[in-house]
Formats: sequence, C-alpha cells, structure tokens
Amino acid sequence: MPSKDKLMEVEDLKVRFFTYEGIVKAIDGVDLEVFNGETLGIVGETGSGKSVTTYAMMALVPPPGKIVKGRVIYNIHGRPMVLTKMDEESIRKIRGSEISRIFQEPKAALNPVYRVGDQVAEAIIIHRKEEMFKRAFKSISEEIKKVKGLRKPLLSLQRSVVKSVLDKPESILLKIILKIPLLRKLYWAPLKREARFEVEKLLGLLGIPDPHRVYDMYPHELSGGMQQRIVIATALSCNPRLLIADEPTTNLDVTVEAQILELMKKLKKDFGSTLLYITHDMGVIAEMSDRVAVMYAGAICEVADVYTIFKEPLHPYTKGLLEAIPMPGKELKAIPGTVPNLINPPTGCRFHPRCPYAMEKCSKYIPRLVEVKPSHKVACFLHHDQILESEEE
Amino acid sequence: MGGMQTYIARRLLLIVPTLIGVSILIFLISTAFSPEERAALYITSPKGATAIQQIVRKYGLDQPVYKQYFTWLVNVLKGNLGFSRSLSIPVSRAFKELWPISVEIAILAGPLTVITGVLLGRVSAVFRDKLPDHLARMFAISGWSLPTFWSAIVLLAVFYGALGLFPPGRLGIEAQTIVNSPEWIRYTGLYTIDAILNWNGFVFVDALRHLFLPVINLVIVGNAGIMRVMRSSLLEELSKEYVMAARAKGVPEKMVIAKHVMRNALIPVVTMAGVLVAYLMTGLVITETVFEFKGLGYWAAHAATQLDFPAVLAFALFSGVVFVFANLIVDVLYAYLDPRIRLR
Repeated sequence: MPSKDKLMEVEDLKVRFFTYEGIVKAIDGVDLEVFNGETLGIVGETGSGKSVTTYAMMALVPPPGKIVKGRVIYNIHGRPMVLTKMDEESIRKIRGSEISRIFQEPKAALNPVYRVGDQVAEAIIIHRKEEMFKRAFKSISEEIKKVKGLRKPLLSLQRSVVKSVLDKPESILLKIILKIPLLRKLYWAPLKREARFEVEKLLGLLGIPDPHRVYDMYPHELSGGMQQRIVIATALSCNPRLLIADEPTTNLDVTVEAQILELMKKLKKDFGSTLLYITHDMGVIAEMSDRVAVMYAGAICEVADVYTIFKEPLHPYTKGLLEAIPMPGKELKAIPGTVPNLINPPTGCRFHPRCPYAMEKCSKYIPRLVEVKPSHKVACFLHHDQILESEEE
Repeated sequence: MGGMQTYIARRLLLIVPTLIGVSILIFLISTAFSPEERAALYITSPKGATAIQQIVRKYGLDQPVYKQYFTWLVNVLKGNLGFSRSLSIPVSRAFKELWPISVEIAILAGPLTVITGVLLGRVSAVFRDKLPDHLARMFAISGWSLPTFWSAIVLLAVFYGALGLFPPGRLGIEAQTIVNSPEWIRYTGLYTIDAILNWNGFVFVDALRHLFLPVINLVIVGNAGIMRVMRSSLLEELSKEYVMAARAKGVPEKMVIAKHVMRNALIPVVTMAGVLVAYLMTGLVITETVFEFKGLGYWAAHAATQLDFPAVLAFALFSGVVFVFANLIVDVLYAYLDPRIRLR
C-alpha cells in the first residue's frame, strides 16, 4: 500500500508553448505530489495538459514549450533533487533510468528503422553499462575455460578490453580502440551480447512469445499490442522508480487493452515502482489507480483517493465527467461547451463558462487548490473562498 | 533474413525491361529524319548526291523501323556504335578516350553536392527560422534558380577573368607537356589520380585548379534540391514521437539527431540524389562546354550542332544507362535505410 513519503512534488508549475498563433498557456499553476509506491491516475479531456505536466516531470517539455515557472522536486533516498534546476547532462541520466515513460501510440514511439530489441537495449546500454560489463567479464571468463583453438586468444583479447573498461574507463588506449572500426567490436560485442540477454529475459517476462526472434524484428512487423509491450519493456528496462504511462491503451483493441492493463498491474507489483497513469477513460481510472487527480484546461481541479472521487466528487467538472460515463439504461449527460482555447483562456476559474453553478466571483478570481477534507483537495469556490494570487503577465 | 538479397535480385531483373524501353525511346529519335536525310549527312561531295538511294539501300534505312531497331541493337551490343563525324573516329573509341574526363568532374561533383546539401539542410533545420537558416535557404534558392550556363560564365568571369585563379580547360600548358611526355604513364586517364600514381605534385595541383570551377558550378546548382529536401524531412522527423521517446530513454541529444533522426530523414534525400544524377548529366553538357573541358558532355553538345547522329544517340543511350544504374543504387540504399521497403 502506498506510503506517505513523497516521491515527486510539482510546485506551481507553469508551461507555455510559444507558437505562431500566440502563447499557449498549457499549464497554469499545477501543484501535485506523487507518493512512493502508489498509482496516481491523472484524468482529463484532450488538451487539459495531462501529458505536458508529466513531460515537465522529466524536465522534457516538447518544443516549442518551455517551463516558465515552478519547480519539480524528485526525492531520491530522502534527498530532494530539483529537476527544473538541474543541468541537461545530469537530468539525462535520470530519464529512462529513474523516471521512464510509456507512450500513447506505440507505433509512433518506436523508431521504424531499427530492430525493436536494439531499441530496448539502447536504454540498458546507456544506463547500465557498468553492470553489463561486469556480467560480460564473468561470462567471458567462464567461456574461456571451455573453448580451445583460435577462439581462445580472441576471447582473452575481448576479456582484457572489458577488464580495462572496468578498471580504467578513462584510459587513452581504450579511447583509441573505440575509434578503430574493427577493434571497437571488442568493446561493443560483449556489451551488446549482455544487453541482448537482458532484453530477451525482459521480453519473456512481458509475455512476448519467442523473444529471441522478436528481438530482431522491426516495429512494422509487430501487432499494436506487441509494439506496446516493446515500449513497456523499454520503460522498465532500468527498473525505474517512477513510471509514467501516457494513455498506453488508448489506441489498442479492447481485448488487448485488458491484457495490457493486467500486465501493468502485475509489473507494478513485481517491480515495485510508482505509477502515474494518464487517461481520459474513467473506467480505466477506477481499475488502475489508488488516487486520482482531475485536470481541466491546464490546472488541477480536484485530487482525492479513487473511492472518494467516484462516491463524493466535489468539483462540478468531476461530477460532469462521472455523469458522462455511458451506462445502460442511463441517459448520457455531456458537459456543455468545449475545452477553452488556451491562448486566451477564460478569466478566473477556467471552468466557469461551462459550470452550472458558476457565481460572479468565479469569473474574476482563480480558486486555489485547498485540502477541504483529509486528503481531498479541490479548487472551487463552492467549497472554500481561497483565491490564488496570480501575477499579471 | 533473405529479404535484402531477394529485393536486390528483383531490382536487377527489372533493369532488363527498363533498358530495352530506354533503347527503343532513344532509337525513335533518329526516325524524326527521313532515310534520305540521314543518308545525306554522309555525302561529302555534290556528285555523290545520286548515291543517296544506294546508301539508303546499303544500310537498310528503307526497311521497317523495327528491323532497323534490331540491326542497331545488335550492333550496339557488339560494341559497334557507328562513326562520329564530328571527331572523325568511331563512337566507341571516342567514349574510351573521353569518359575519364567527364568522370573526373562527376566523381567530385556528385558526392560533394550531396554532402554539402545534407550539411546545409541540417544546419538550416537545427537553426530553424534563425539567421543560419535564412542564409542557407537564400543560397539554395539562388543556386536553384540560376541557369547552369549563366552561373558558369559568371564563375569564369570572376575567378578567371578578374582574379586569374582558376583557368578553363583541363590542364595548363606546362602540365600538358608533362602529361604528353613519354615518361608519363597513363593508368586511368583521370589526371588527378594519374598524378598521384606518377608522384607528380605539379600536375596534381594543376588538374585540381582546372577542376575547381566546373565542379563548383555543378554543386551550387544541384545542392539546393538536396538541401531543401533535407531540411523539410529533418524538421518533419524531429516532430515525431519516437524522438521524444529516445529523449525520454536518456539518449544524449547528439545521438538522438545522429542516430535516430538522421537515418529516417535521409530516406527522401536518397530519392532526391537519384534525380540529381539526371541533373548532373545535363549540367555536365553545359558546364563542359563553357569551361572548355573537352569530355563527353562537350562532345555531345558539339555533335548535336553538327547533326552527328551516332554520337548523339550514343550519348543519350549512355545517359539512360547511367540513370538506370544510379536508380538501382538508390533503390538498394533506400532498402538498406528503411527496412519497410525490403518486404515489398
């Protein structure tokens, strides 16, 4: 069960996209915390800023977007790291190893011209190089005892290269070897062999039949479900602490969706990571998450545990979302209006033009996200009077 | 995986019908003239005029077109391409003597065009809408819109006329004397390579000096196309999700571009490079003429003005064959870069 230590905190995050049409205020003052070991569901309509918020958590906002304000704090062994202030090189080492991401469209997330296995192995080669070389050293040492003839000197040459990588990774001789086409195989071959072994093990774990064959296939040769398993394998390859799943089943068949959801639940248990699950499907939210954050037009309007959200929702938008779930025998109620244009968002509470309970102050002031009941936060003047001080730009 | 081998084998087989089609089209050019007109070109003295009908009958010019085509094709396959009146030697001998001259230009201009085009396109995509991008695009657009003959004349006027740096022709007089001397051993006919093999620095530098302008002229005209394709395809690839996926994996930005994006972005560029070969062939004719670089292109241009039929046909056939084989290489490269092609 989720503990109460915060793995990640997002404070007053603001993200802007600088486009030709104008500045898109995609994220406007998001506060969010993720607890160790939990599954946090983020729900909202398309364009509400779910994906961008989680991209900001990796300090990786796609261009032309920029984080203009706020902090993202990642707590590792009780030591807080401010991701929004770190240099690119150190944050790169966190991406894919500590925090990784499963993408919405597996077909688009895989590079069409490389073998799928190599794409999974890439993350392992980047983040777990030393571990792989240690294993390579062990396996070469064992093999050397067994073989005879010409392969023996070749293997011992390989072993000495691996040994020098482990002992003196900065040595000049090694750098020269890496520059010479044939010799550099001595470095890459053992590394790739161990990474491949690791990838095949992982693919088997994800229920992919015949991992050895699938490793050498290209993305277009696999079905959507298999492609998504490859993307999941990439995300899991370095045992991440935080796994961000960005609508991973939206583009899959229902039966495949059920398989993937089942798989993700199992993996979360086995790997013990924290899961951030983004979706617009309330059914999937109910199935997967411990806590839920509801987003609308670049801000969070309500955060509570999953039972409270479904039983006692407070924000009018959350209520509207729940009423929009199709059920047999029930008349479907849509939320009137559309998601606002974020270049010129409505003043005050961004939901007020569509809100059935809108009051006069809703159009003037922005409500703060306040904890009105234990572990239940809401940003709505129906439940408190706290105004978010927002500086004019 | 045998996908690649099957693919190449199939492409090779397809070359046969393509070449037959090319040869038919080219042969049809000659039927634009009546048999008498064609025969008349070989009559040198007025009293021979009565012999026209004899020549027509002797060479079978009055036979049906398909029969003439087969006679021609059989001769071409035997290596007999006719007699070039403009050079007063057989066409096949003219080819043997002239090809190194044109190849020397093409072998430098082709790769250089692609490399500079790719680099410029990359700079312009990475610095999108900033100064380097604007400069690169301006350069490309002006290169693309310049007629080859005009840019050649301007280059010649500036770099030879005003600055005296790069003269026209193939070699200077001193170098020519060395090349014609008995000590000079002809290995390939390419002066730059022969100069290295003969260990003669003077000839080497002189040959390069003469090659400079024709090559530059072909490059500035051709690389605009490559650059524009490279830029747009790189920008398109950069916006794809697999790029974000690679970054999210922790791949260093340099590798994201060099490994993930470039390989995908190069696929349309390779197609463009195939088209470029045709461009290079026509460019060669004009460039060689302006720079007095007496290779295949120069010969073809002069043959055309003198109604030297066998020479024009042979040059057209040669261009066709080069183009077909260039496209074979493009197809193979294409399949190497993009695994999705191999299955078809």
